[in-house]
Amino acid sequence: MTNPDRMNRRRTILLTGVGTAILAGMIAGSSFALVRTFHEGSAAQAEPPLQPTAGPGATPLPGATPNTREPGWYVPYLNADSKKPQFQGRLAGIDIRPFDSSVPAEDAGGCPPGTSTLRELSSEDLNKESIGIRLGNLAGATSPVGPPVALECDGRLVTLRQFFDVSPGQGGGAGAGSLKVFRSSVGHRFWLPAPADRWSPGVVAGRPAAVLKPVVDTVGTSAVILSEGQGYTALVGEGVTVEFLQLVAEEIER
Amino acid sequence: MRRIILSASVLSALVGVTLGILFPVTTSHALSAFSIQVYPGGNGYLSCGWHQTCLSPYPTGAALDFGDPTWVYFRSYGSGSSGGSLAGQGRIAYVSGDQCQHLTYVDIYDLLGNYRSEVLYEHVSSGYAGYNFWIYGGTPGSTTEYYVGQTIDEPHSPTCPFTGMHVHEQATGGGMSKNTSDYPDVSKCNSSCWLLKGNWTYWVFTKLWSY
Repeated sequence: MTNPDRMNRRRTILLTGVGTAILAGMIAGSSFALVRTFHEGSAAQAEPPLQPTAGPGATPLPGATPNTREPGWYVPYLNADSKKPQFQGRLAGIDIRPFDSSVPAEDAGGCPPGTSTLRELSSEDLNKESIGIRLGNLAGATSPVGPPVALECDGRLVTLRQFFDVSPGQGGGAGAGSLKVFRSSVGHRFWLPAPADRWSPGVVAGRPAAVLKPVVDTVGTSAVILSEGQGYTALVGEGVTVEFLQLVAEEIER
Repeated sequence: MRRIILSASVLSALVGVTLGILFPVTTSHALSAFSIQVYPGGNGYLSCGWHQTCLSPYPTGAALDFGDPTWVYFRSYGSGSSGGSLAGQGRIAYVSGDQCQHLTYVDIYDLLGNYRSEVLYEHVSSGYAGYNFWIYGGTPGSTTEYYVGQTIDEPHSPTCPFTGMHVHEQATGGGMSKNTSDYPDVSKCNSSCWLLKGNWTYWVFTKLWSY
């Protein structure tokens, strides 16, 4: 074979190889694009509306693990919780009561009828009070909803309450939450209807406490109620964990 | 040579198909937006306007009072772009200490279980704590009405210096916006803003969310 023939053969092989590679690339690219386009189309068509699949009144299957990406995943747990009898009794020194229309409203600290007044407190007032609400390190995680409201009897503060929003991701769950703080210097009664299997006694911030866990995850009412001398501090949450309420209790008691 | 080209083509097609299956287009869930307007839980209207404690001289605050009701309802008009008819769940809670002993709440959770907001119906007694119900939405929108309790005359309690049967309706969480310009009053609604079907102007609170 002469040199020119050899050169031509090499050139032919080189050109064929390059052409084949280009062709293969085009075929691979087209196939890749076609398959992805097909998948995209079928995915868009299959996108379901954001609606629950469980029927009304459904309760959780025993042992089932909830799929928290499923719309309405938590509703069967709320349904089951609502069917349970509510706890009534003494827990960690706190008299927990469900709603009971026969229970008369009770006196607060011997305050004679007609002598109590409600007052909105300023932050200066609040700092003076022995049962004030100071969230310390958790102040940045919450924002007050309205001013604290105090009940006074003959100029003596007997109860105090304030509501807070909990910022997303700060209450132990991914979303936002709410926090209600009730402080009282008189009495150990608290009305919070919930089933017995969500209540437990505990110790929080060094004090005996009645602890209520949410229904599931951070859904449903949770609470930590501390028994304090002649009164209590109750922290009630929605969309938050018990661990978050314990942190709040520790800040308030600090 | 032809055999080589044919084999390369088939092989590259297989590679393309395989890669297309392994790396599909990832479509994010379409953004769903919801809005809820909350309406008076009672029927009548008291004159103290937006207030906190409803004690004269009625300092501005987060609540409206509705008088003359016996039965109190959570009432809302919801809409959403999810393609379904539901916006979320309402759940009744009853929480009370020694300061005004009738605090009934409706907590609003979205369809994925995220807490969204809370409405307090004060001076309302409820034996329905823990009950849960669907809050309707959809396009163009739909209403929800759910019984939550009945008003209580508080003065029998020395701890609650209020008079008269009424519900004190307040947004206590979730950053609900209050209607300060066209809120329900007797000049607009007479006895009930809720009963003015088709006129959804006179809401009390509103809440928007999306995911």
